[in-house]
Amino acid sequence: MIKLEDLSFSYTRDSFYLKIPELLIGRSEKLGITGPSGCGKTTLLNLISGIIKPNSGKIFTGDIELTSLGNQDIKDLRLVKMGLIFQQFELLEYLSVLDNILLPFRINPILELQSETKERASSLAISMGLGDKLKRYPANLSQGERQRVSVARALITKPELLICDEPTANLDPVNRDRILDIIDSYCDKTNTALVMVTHDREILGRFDRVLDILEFSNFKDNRGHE
Amino acid sequence: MNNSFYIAWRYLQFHWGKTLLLILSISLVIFIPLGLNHLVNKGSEDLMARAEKTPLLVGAPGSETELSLSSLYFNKPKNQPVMFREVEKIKEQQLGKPIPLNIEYQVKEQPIVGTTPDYFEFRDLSLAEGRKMAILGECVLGAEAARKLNAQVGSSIISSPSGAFDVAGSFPLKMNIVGILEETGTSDDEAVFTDIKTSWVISGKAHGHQDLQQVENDSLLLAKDETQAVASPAVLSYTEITPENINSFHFHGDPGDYPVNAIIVEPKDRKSALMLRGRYENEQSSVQMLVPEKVISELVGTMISVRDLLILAGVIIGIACLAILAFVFALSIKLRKAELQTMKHIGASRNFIGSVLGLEIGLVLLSAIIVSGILTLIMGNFGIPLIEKLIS
Repeated sequence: MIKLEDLSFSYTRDSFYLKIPELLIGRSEKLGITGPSGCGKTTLLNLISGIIKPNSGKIFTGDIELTSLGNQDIKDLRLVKMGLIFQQFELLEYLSVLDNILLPFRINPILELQSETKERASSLAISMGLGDKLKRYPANLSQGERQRVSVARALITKPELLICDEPTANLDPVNRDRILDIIDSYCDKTNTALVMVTHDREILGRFDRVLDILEFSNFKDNRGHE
Repeated sequence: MNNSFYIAWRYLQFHWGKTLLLILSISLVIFIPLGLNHLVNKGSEDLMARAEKTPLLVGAPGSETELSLSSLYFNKPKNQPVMFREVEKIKEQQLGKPIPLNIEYQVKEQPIVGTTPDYFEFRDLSLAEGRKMAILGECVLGAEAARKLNAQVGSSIISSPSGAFDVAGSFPLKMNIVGILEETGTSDDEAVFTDIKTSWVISGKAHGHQDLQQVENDSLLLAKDETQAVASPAVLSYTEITPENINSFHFHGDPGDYPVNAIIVEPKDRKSALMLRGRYENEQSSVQMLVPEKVISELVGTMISVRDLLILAGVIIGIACLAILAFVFALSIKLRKAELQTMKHIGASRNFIGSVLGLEIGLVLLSAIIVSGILTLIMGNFGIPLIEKLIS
C-alpha cells in the first residue's frame, strides 16, 4: 500500500541526512518504528504523510505517486486517506470535543460535513468513553481523554492509513493501553494500515513488524550518529 | 454556517475577554475622531440654525458672544441690561419688530424668560396644551421645563430667589401655568415664559400690596395725607398675583428705565435691517446691535479649528494604536503557530487558514465599527445638549 523508493531527505541548514533505499507497508499491516531520538522517525512519518517532500526518491500511496502531486493535492489525499495522531494531541483549545473530532470536515471542502458525520462523531466519542464530554473544551479533559479525542479526530474520516507519532508518550500505562486498544481494534475491524513511532518497548508486541530506523536506513546527524 | 467563519467565530467566542478588549480599543480609536467630528458638525449646525433664525440682537456693550449665547440659549446674562425704552425706540423707527428678553431669573434650574407674545410667533412656537399668558402672573412652559418641573396647566410654580442674603433682590413669585409648548428640540423647551411685566414683578420693579389708604395700623406707614401714603418696610408685597390683588400691582418710576437683557429685532426686510444696523453703528449709544449669525459663525469657526486639531491628534494616536494592534495580531498568529500547523498537517489549505485569520480580524473590525457607530449615535443624541450646556 505504501512504498518508499530510494528516498533521501536532508534539512537545508542542518547536517541531518536520511536515506531509505526501500520500504513497503502492506494494507492492514501494523508497523512499529523505533530508534533513538533525533534519528529521523518523525521525519519519516512526515515524508510518508506528505507533510514534507523528499530531496529525491519516490513515495507511493496505493497507485498514486505522492511525490508527483502538488501541495494541495497532497493535503486533500492526506485528509481523505490518512489519519494523523500526534504526541502532543494538537487539539484546538477553543473548540469543543465534538468540534475537535469534526475538525477534518471543517477545514477542507473536499469533505462535506453532514448530519450523519455528526452522528458518527458522537458514536465514536461514546465508544471512546467521551460521550458525556462532547461539549467540553480540551483544557477540561485529562491527558488520556485528550488523546482519545485526538484519536477520534484521526478516525472520523475512515482513513486507510493511521500515522501515529508516539501517541502514548505522555500517557500513564492504563491510558496508554486504552488508546492502543482503540487503535488496534479500529485497524483490525477496518483493515487499516498503521505506522506508529514509539520509544515504548512494552508495546512492540502489538505490531506485525517492528523496524529500527537505524537498521533499515542510512542517516547522519550533527551529533555523530551514523 | 461557513466552516472558516465557524472556526473564526469559535476562536473569538472562546477568547471573549480578549476579543471584547480588542473591539473596545479599536472602537475608541475609530470613535474619537469620528464622534468628535459628528459632535462638532451637529453642534455647529444646531448653533447656526438658531442663530440664523435670529436676525438682529440689541444689548448692552460688551462680549458679543455672551450676549448672543444668553439671548439664544437663555444663559444667565453676563452683560449689563439695557433700558426698556430701547424697545420703544426701535418700535418708533418702524423698521422692525422688537422683542424684549429678560432672562435674569429662574425656577429651580429652568430660566424664566420675560418677553412678549410676539416671541412665540417669531420662534414659531405652538402650544401643546393651554393658552398663551394673558395677564400678570401667568406663564407658559417649554416642554422640557414642564417635564423637569413636573408641572401641568392649571398648576403653579414659584420663581427661585436670586440671592438668599440680598434684601433688595428678587423674592419668590407664584406663577400660574396657563400653557405648555410643543417640543422643539431647542433651548425654548427648557424655558419658563412670562410676560415682560411679570419678570419685572419678580425683580421687584413692580409689586402689589394692600391699599395704604385703607391701612389702619400706623406702624405700616411712614407718612400719610389725603393724596398719598408712604409705606414702611413692614408692608409686605404680595407673592402671588390673584384676581383679587391684581389691581394693586403697580410700577414705580418710568417703565422706560426698566431693564431688559436683550432685544431681538425682526426687521421688516433686508433694507430695514441694514438701516437699523447703520443707525446703531453710527450712534454713540450705550447699546450695541449685532447679527447673531455672524457672532455664532465666528464661535463655530473656533470650534472647528479646535476640532480639526483634536481630530489630527486622534488620527495620529489612531495610527499608532492600529500599528500596535497589527503587532498584537501578528504576535497572536505567532503564538498560534502550533494550532495553525495542526490544521495544515491535517489537510487545511493556506487559503483556508488565511480566511480563518482574516475573518477573525474582519469580525473584530466590523464589531468595532458597529460599536463606534453606536457610540457616535449616542454622542449625537446626548452630546449636543452637553455641548450646549458647556457653552452656556
